Amino acid sequence: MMNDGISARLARSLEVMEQRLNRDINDDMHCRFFRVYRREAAVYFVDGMVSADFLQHYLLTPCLAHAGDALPGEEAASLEALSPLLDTARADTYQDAIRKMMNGHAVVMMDGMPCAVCFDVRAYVRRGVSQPLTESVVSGPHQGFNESIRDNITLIRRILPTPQLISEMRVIGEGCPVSLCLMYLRDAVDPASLDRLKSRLDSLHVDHVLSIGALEQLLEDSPWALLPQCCLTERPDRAASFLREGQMVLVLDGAPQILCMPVSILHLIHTPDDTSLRWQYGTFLRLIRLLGAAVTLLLPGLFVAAVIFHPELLPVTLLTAILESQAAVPLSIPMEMLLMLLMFNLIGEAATRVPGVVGSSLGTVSGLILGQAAVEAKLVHPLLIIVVAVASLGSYAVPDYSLGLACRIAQLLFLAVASVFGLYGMVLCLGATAIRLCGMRSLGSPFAAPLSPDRTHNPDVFLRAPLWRQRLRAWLANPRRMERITGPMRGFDRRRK
Amino acid sequence: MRTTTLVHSPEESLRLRLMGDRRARMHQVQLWCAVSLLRTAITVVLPMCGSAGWWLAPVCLLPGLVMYGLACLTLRRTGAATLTEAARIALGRTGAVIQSVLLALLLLTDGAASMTALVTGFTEGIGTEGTQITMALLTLLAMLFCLHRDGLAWGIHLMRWPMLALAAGAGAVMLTMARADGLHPVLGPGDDALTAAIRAGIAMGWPLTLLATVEPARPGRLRPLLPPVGILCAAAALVCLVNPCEVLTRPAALAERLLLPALYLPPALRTLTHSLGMLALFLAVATAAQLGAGHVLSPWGREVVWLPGALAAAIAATQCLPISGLWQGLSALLTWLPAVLALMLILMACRRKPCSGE
Repeated sequence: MMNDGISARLARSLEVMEQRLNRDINDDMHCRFFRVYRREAAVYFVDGMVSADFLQHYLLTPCLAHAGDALPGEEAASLEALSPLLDTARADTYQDAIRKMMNGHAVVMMDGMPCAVCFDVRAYVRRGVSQPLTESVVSGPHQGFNESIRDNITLIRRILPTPQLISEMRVIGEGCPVSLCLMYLRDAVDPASLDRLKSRLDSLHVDHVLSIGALEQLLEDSPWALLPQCCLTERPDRAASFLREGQMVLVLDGAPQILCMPVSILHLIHTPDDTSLRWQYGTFLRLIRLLGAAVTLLLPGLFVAAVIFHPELLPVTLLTAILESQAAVPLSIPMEMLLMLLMFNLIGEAATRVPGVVGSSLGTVSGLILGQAAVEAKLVHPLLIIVVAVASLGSYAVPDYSLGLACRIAQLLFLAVASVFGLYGMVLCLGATAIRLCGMRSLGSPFAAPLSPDRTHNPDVFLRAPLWRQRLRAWLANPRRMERITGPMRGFDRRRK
Repeated sequence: MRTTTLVHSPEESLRLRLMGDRRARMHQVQLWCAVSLLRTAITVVLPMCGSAGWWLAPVCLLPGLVMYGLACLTLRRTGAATLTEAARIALGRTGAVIQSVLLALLLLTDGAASMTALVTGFTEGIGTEGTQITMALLTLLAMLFCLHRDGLAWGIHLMRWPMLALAAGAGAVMLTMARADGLHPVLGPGDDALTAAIRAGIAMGWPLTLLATVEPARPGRLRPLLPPVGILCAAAALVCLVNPCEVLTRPAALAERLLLPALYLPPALRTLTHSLGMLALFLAVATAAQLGAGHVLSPWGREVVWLPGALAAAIAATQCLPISGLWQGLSALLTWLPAVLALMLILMACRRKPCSGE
């Protein structure tokens, strides 16, 4: 039985633990024997996951100091009293004890005690708080999450120091459990969304959740959709912003990013800079990003459609130049475009996989050399290189990595449609895509809201209005707590009531 | 600038959300209605009446406006939310079934007509690669992709501003090319042609009836007729102002008639306008399939998820028929079926007491 209770006989407990921990072949599962309160005792821990100093100074030394003393009271309470500085927890079953041990606790078993006392002496190797790698900003904090769930929760709590910030710890995964923390602002979150997320978490039956991306795939509404329906961030300030808007975040142990739900398509386009910078600059940058996304999605298809089906859209000189140089190129324009787009994606992927400085150099050199060589070898048209370069550049302006990838895949789809059906096919495809996007949901909330359907919202959609006009939480928040603040935000400013 | 906002109670928030959903549904029906009116005006009425179209198209709407008024009257008298419910109260269960089947048939016929226009516009007018069947299959695939329960209405709600902006831009450019003598002769090519145009276009306004069945975004507000009617009047006037009577009444195939309104626009704007027209037709076909499915099932109060897709497939299947015969058949159906609907509306409106047992 996996859930059998811990025996009061130490010998029996040792036998079970030895067997379940596979100690005969598992070299980093350690056990030390000692005497405390005139009884035999044993402590189990995993090498490398506990602090040897903590174990020695705060647990073993006090125990040995009371080796000959009589038991002052109840066994577990007496043991806990020996180390007042350490967090303790009791485990009544072997399974609980082993789970605690695997999380870095030292598990103490004592003869005559029908439970185990787990001392928190965790100290494993972890990365420090460093700059976010994929979400750089010009203005705003430069802290990023690391792989420790405790550090990540602390980083968020430092930004939102309020008891209304709830962090519910959970364990996910049946074979190899992982710690998961569900965080939300109690007075802002929509209770219906919270219940929905909890019920989805409760209904998960997985062996192990390896990463936050895997958790995202398990929780999202439309697994077949191209667009992501959750937002991943490695910035504590962004996580705090989501929480203030009434959304929920999931912090997974071992993941340097947190998962935010529910979100809308707008959350995938906005960045922290939009809010940190003055509203004029934020609006400008946001429009540039939207332009980048549109260019990525449509430009290759538009070029192909214009050259093949709608030459009247191009100036005569340009069209002549394209057709003249096209005569010397062995491939058709759609095939050229496809080839170059795949080449740029290849360069991008290769540059991502090779380390730091080498990666950026590789990208630049490959782009320059390959582009130049392809033109000189008359494999592709020079104008086409410009189109592909601009389209690829646009995809890097999309702040969300998943959305950027979705745009690059959809770009190929639009190219295929434009190659066969021209601009009209593209328009149909665009319309169908927009409708599909509007029909999507994130944790049950419309994915394209507040654009469609209409929802009450701040003037912070495509254009970002001044902060003092943004008085509402997101439309995803608790309807009872839509307002962040009442009364004038700039109390000194008599012109704006 | 105002810096204070209303405090939303939960009820108020819920009301605002419902209002947003209703507004999206209203825009969906309005778009379908506008596309249906424009399609009939451009392909049926204007080629017959020529320069008289600027006043004849609005005149042809009058029976439709009367039907809309009758529908509103019936709904008010019966206190029902939908025409089917009103028919059940006024004419009994059989009446409700006939009413819903009739509405579904009208919607499907209209969807097939829009589909025919779309496919013909693609294959014969614009001249992209692909046969009639290929284009019908492409459109069907796109429809199946986007026939979500709420997605279609929300998508149309999202796209209304870009579409209106593009239409307004094209209209503004057309206005610069307008000539007052485009409105002459006021009676078009002659009395006989005018009579034929009135006969063909008399049932054009029936889609306005469905606007009566959509819940208004705000209770007590007039159901908005203005956008579809306004768009039709503006478009008819612009087409007449830009094109001489001889061009409008020249014998032409369906595809040419569809492309006529944008004939004199600059190339880029013409291409964009054609794209807009095709997108609008596509949305109208999808809407017809969705609304048709709703009406088919309304007497039973059920929802079958696959039915809109099946009806879309049925609409697409009509493209296996020869275009000219299909178009004539659909035009005839769309002329006479609304008369049955009008008859039912008159019966429902004249009924003094609700049916017993209802």
